[in-house]
Amino acid sequence: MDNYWRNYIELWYKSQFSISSFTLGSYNPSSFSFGSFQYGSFDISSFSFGSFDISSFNFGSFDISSFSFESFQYGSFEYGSFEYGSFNEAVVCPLLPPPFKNEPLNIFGYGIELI
Amino acid sequence: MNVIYSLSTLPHFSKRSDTFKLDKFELYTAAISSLTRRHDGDYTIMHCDTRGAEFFERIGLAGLWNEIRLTIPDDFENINPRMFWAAGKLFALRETPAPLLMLDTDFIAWDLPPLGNNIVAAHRESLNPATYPPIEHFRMRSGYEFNPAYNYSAMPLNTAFLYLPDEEFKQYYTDCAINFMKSAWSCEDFLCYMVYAEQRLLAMCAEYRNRQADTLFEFDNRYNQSIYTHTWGAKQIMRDNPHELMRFCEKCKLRIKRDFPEWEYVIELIEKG
Repeated sequence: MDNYWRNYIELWYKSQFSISSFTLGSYNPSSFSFGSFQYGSFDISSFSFGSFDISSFNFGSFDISSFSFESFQYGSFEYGSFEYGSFNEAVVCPLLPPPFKNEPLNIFGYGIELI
Repeated sequence: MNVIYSLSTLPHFSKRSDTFKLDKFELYTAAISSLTRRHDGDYTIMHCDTRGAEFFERIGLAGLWNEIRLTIPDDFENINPRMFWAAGKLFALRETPAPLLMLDTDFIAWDLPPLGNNIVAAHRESLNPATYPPIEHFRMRSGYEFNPAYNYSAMPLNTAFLYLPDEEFKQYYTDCAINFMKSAWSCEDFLCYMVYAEQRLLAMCAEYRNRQADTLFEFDNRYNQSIYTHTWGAKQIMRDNPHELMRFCEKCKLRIKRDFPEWEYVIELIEKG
């Protein structure tokens, strides 16, 4: 299973963040692929992308009919400027992990500045 | 106050057979967390399994805690270590008399709130069904019963910081959690089962046993406080971003040199890993 996705879920669980204000900016999702995405028995039926249009996504063999991120929220954080660059592994995962690494640590922790 | 931490290596070795190690940033926060509590007069205990204790001895950091205690069963008492990667915390709780404070190694309490007769956890978590699904999600062995008297809408308690004031409740909670872990069928769900056992059951057990559970802060106010540090999901950023890792570690070094100069030697040990 793809580590990005696992980390993504972990981060989400840990931070309870959400992506209600998620924007893709100039990102072109047409080349994005989830390939053979799997997450074991993880139930994604309650996810939704809200108003985000995923119709042009190529999810490979992954059935997205019930996939959504609707229950995600991410406060006012915006991903408007992020890019996936060359992130195009065949087996990939979702939308957020690549830009994580360029975010301040406090996005997913708290009190980091106290050290 | 006994402040307990835990390290169990079985989740690691259930996936790979290479040498066990912790990232530098994890060692720095673990060190600062323990040294801060010790500075305030607390007695810190690191609960380990055999290979965890050997790890701290090998890298020379066992002295960071007042005591290394071998309490985590090397076999997790047959609990699935991949599904229940944090089971070591429950074993550590089970074996330490209350009152006690349990901290994650990535959590630093620069000060403690007044701790009395109430349970105190870090914060509540929302009952998002992707993380905390209905109990029908769980496939349990024959004989296990979900307590119908529990309030299944109780908001889970984050246990990065957990103060448990009384032994009777602590045993009840840990027994419930460990029983759940032992009763679960093995599967590839590495999240929902774990947080049910550790965090959701805690909130429901507390309510069921009429124990008041307080929190350090509301989750939405986590940035509006200056007493607690939790690296939490930021650990992944540091794994992915060498620049952030270096910046964080440099801050930790300065903190150790400034506040705990007699422990400055641990910096070199941490850097060597």
